[in-house]
Order: sequence, then structure tokens, then C-alpha cells
Amino acid sequence: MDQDTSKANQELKERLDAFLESPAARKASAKLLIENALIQKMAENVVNREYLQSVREIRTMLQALDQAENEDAREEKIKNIKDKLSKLS
Amino acid sequence: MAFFNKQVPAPAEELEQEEGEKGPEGLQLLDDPEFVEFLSYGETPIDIQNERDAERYAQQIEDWHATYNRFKETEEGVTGIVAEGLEEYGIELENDDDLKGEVERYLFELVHDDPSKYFDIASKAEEHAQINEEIASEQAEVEALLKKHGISLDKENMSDHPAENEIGKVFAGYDEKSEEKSKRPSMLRWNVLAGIYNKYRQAPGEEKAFQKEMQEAFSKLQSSIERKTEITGARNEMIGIMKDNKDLKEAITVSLKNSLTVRMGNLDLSDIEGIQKIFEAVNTNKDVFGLGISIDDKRRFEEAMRQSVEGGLTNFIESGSWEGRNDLIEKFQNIFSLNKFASFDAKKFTTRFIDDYCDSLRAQMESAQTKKERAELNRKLILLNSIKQETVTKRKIVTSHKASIAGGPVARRRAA
Repeated sequence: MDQDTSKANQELKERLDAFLESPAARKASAKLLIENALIQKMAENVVNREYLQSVREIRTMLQALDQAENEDAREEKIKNIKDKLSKLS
Repeated sequence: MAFFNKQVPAPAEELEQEEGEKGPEGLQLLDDPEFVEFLSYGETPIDIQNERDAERYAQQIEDWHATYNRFKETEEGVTGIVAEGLEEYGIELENDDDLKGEVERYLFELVHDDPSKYFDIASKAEEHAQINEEIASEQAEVEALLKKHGISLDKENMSDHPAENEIGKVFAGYDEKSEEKSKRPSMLRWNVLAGIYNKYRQAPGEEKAFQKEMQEAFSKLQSSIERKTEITGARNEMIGIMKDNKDLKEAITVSLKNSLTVRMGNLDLSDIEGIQKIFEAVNTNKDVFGLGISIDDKRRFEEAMRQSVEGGLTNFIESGSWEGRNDLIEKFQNIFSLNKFASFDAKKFTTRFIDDYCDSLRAQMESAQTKKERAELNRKLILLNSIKQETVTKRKIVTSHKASIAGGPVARRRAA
């Protein structure tokens, strides 16, 4: 990089620095941050609802363990529970 | 602050003096300074020339007061969810007075511009808190039952998810205070496609690999887009980047259906018909904006950037000499040229320059010692990304435009 280019880049960088510190930029970034924060959190509802459903199903499966007819059936149920737990995400 | 520019202090007093009795009940609500401040984020009211105007005005005030009361009931929950979201950028809203003020202003403006959108967000914030509460309760119950039945989890049966490798950590992903927070299940990020695009941007010889990876990512994202749009009502959050016109049309179709922003790279500019279809879609759907087209030619790329920003876009439009180009740009400018992005003079900056600058900010992030430093760097990064990838200013403008049509109770009644 020649000296002129380097100097020009440095000037640009300083201008960008100044812009990013300016009240207009701070205001714009605040709005963006707020919007992003809201969207991200609201979008989580979908995932969280699905996750909640899975945890409920696991709880139901665990509650049904006592009704296992024999040890083999119980082991099978436990295997299914572990399998479902492993897929929680 | 335009709401009460001239009329606010006067109407109630004048009516009392002239009629020797109290003005309409709605006007007395203006004794509450907090309510008056709330109203100040709205629109200019009608001129009050006579008693009928005053009654109409009073009715509007009463309606807004009902909205204000609902707002006050939900404000804390919405602010709370914003604060939670901001934590992911390393920002503690509690300790940032400037941003706290911006959040307040944002919510005030939102409830004035689009009350239904605000109350929709409020209900989702409530739902968010409720679901998390239920998750905590269910998790506690499941852990107790696992313990009761003596069930332990061995690695062979577990996924690779580090948080799930042993009992007690099964739900670490949902513990807000956990260090494993970042590993919790999450929606696919919207920059996935952009990431793939950037990865291959400099590798023209790997087009097939690019297409394959992009198609896989896009098909994964489609259902997420639809769900996210359905849930958040969010517009313009998805950036679809497709390699060729066939995929491009698909991206356009899906994105328009979901009111999302579309961005493309390496468009086949010889397919005028395809491009025209795209712009017809843009023309007939003013909620879609920020459509940018760039090509792999540095000179034209920079020129496209310059013209885009001058036209009010933060994305790029093609600046070649093909037929219809000028019409196209004019159409874009008619739709979008409402504002420029703050005082940022993008003419002087190439995307490469901004990329380098972002890299230096990320490097600083790694060595940042405090949350505050990280938050500041995040703030800059998000803004630069928006300049590069989003149409922030346009989003605001379109919101304002819609507000003038749909508006709050005042605007609606006035329109009627």
C-alpha cells in the first residue's frame, strides 16, 4: 500500500470513527438494537413452545413409568425417555 | 412533540372561560403531565374552532387515554423483554440511561404509529415470560422424576450437545444464568445465507458447491422464516441470497409471501424478463424494500453502492449499461429515495473497507475487558452491518408512511 493510499484510508477510518460516535449514529444503532432484541426474543417463543411441549411429554413418560408391566417394559420406557431427552433442542 | 403544538394549553381553559363551566371530560385528562408527554409522541390534532371540534377532540383524548392505560399496563413487560434481548449484545439496560431513554421513546413512538403492532408485541412478551415459567416448572418436575426413578444419562445415549451430557445439565440450555446459555436451542440465524454467500463470494470456481450449500440452507430456513413471520409479524428480517435467477425467483416468491426483504448476488442481468418480474413485485408491494443487486465487478460494485445510498438505499443496485437500467434505478429511487442514512457518506467507503473495519472491531471485542466496552463495540458493529446489509432508514420511513394511512385512533377517525 503506497503512502497516499495509506493516508487516505487512515482519514476514512477517522471519519468512520467520528460517524459511529455521532449522536445520529448512536440513535440509529439504539433503534436497531432495540428492534433486534425484540425480534430475537419474540422469535424464541416458537422454539420455546416446542421445547416446552417436549419436556411435558418427557414428564408424562416419566410419570407413566410406574405403570410398566414388568422390568423389560420399564427398561424400554426408560430407553425411550433417554432418547427423547437426547433430542431436546 | 407536534401533538400539542398550539392547542394543548388552550382548549380546556378557553372553553371554561367562555362557557362558564368545565370543558369536555376528555380535555380534563390533559391535567396529567405524564399522559400529555405520552400524547406528545403522536400527531398534530385538529384545530379547535368551535364546540363540536372540542367535543371531537375530547373524544380522541379519551380514546388515547384508554390506549395509554393499556400501554402502562404492558410497558414493564415489553421493556423487560427488550432488556433480555439486549443482554445478548452485552448491554445492561438497567445501567445505560441513554439507551433506557431510547427504549422508552421507541415504545412511545411504536404505540402511536401502530398500536396494534405494539400490543401484539406486548402479548408476545407476556407469552415469552409465561412459557419460560412453565419450562422452569416442567424441568424441575422432570429432574425430580429422573432422580426418583434413578435414571442417569450416559454419553452413548446423548447427543453431542454439551449441555445434555449428564443429568442435572440436561436443561442447562434453558438456564438463563448458565454459562451454557449460548448453546441453548435457538432459531437459525438470519445471516446464515449471507455467511455462505460471503464464503463463496471470492471463489468463483466453486459455484456448484455454493449452490448446493445455499439450497440446503435455504430449505432449512424456509420453515423458520414462515414461523418467525407468523409469530413476530416481523417484516424485512430475512435476506434471501440466491445464485441464479431460478433460485432467485423462488427466493422472491417466498420472501414476498412473507413480507421479507430480498437481497441477491450474482444476478444474471441478461434475464431482463426475470428482473422485470422482480421489480413489478417490488412496485406492487411497498413493504418490500432494500432490494439490492450487485455483481462481481469492483468498479460497478462501488458505483452501485454509491447510487444505492444516494437513492436512499443501504444496499446496492446494479449500475451497468443494460437495457432498462435507468428506468429501473428511477423506479427504485421513486420508491426508496426518501432519506439518506444519517450523515454517513457511503460514497467514500467500499464494503471491503467496512468489512476490514468490522474485523478490527471484532478483534477489539476479543480483548475487551468490560461489558461496557463489548456493548459499545456491539453497537458499532450492528450499525455497520445495518449499513451494509439492512435498510434501516427505509424501515423507519415505511413505518411512518403506513402510520399516516393506518395510524392510531386519531388518524383513523380523521381519515374517516
